[in-house]
Amino acid sequence: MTHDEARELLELYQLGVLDEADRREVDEHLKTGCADCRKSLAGVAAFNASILASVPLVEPPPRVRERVLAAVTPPKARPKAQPHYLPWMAMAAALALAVWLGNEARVKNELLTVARRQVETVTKERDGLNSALTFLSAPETRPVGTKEDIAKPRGLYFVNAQSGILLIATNLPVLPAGRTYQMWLIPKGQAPVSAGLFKPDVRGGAVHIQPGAVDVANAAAVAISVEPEAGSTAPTTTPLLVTPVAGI
Amino acid sequence: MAAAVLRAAGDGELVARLRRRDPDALGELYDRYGRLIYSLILRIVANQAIAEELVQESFLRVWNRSEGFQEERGSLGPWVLTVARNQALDYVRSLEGRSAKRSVSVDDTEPPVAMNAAEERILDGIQLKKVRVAMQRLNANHRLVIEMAYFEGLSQTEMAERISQPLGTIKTWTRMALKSLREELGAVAS
Repeated sequence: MTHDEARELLELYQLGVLDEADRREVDEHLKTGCADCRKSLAGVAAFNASILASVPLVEPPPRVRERVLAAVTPPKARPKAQPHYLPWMAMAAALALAVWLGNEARVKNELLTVARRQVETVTKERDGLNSALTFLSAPETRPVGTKEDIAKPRGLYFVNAQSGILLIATNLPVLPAGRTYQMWLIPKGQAPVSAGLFKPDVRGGAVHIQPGAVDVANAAAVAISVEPEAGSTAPTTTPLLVTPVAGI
Repeated sequence: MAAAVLRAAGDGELVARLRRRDPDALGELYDRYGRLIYSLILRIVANQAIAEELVQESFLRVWNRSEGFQEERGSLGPWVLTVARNQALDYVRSLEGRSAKRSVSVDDTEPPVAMNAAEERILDGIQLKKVRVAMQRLNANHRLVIEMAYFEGLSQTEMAERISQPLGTIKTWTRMALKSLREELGAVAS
């Protein structure tokens, strides 16, 4: 390969896209110590970079920057996350397998595959949960064996001493402007305690969770009321869906 | 916009902070090159979710390999760009079952080669506008082979198979396209 022939291939050589035979010939030419070609390589790198940089610019979503920085920020400086042992075990297993196979590209692809599977799994779980909650909070849904007026407000509370209180409500009246619903936990012989604010959807359905420990033994009832947007320290309107805890 | 500028003042100081494992330095690096890197990767993989993933991997790669970077030897931008291109092409090749190929000389495993001031001029914003104009001036066949080489990582043999043209034709188109671009851009590499 002559000097001129080698020089004409330097851009593709630097890009790593030369066919093997051509690449070997350029390599051989460079090994002869061609100062001109060696000097040109730096300019070729700049030239190639400028072609790559000429792509139409697209603004990445802000979450990309957050993810990049989160990956190098020490864990103690980040908000504490709940452990997800199984996904990490799967990631570790995929990583170990790929390293064993000794292929860096395979490592990346294995990780991407595992990550995509996790996203798919989480998406399926979320879709399933959303379907169930939409079903439960629909005005037409009612417990089998009851003859409830399906047009009346209805609510079903669940309580967990460690995790909190969950309300699934339907047919809630439309809120006036500047008002919200507030859930209350009413302890025995004491004033009601706020259990969070929520707003129903356009059909009057709502799913509201107040996380945290609940003293179930000393709880008398749960209820909701319509309150100002910022909430109240005690109910200011007639409570709705009052349900004794013993009756849950 | 400054994000398109590949040669930024203060690269050396930024590299020094990256080597000290300063997370804020990675934030600054992202602010300088994030949009460009995202745009390049998106151009190659044509999938937003995958592009986001690969941007993250590219910056982490730069972060993990900043120890070997010698700022006196060249600019940060071309190196970051090369890392991103390699990441994106590796992904596309893995989908297509093609073997991985890496660019050389400014490979992401090595610090960038030295560039003198005249060579670095091609990386500033004004020159990038010239590059875009020069690309638009290429005829359709010449632009096609350039795009297949730079953004799809295809060899000339692979290009010939892709568009059912003789290898000799592809080589001629590539040679003429590169000659035209060199002339338009001031022939820094000639």
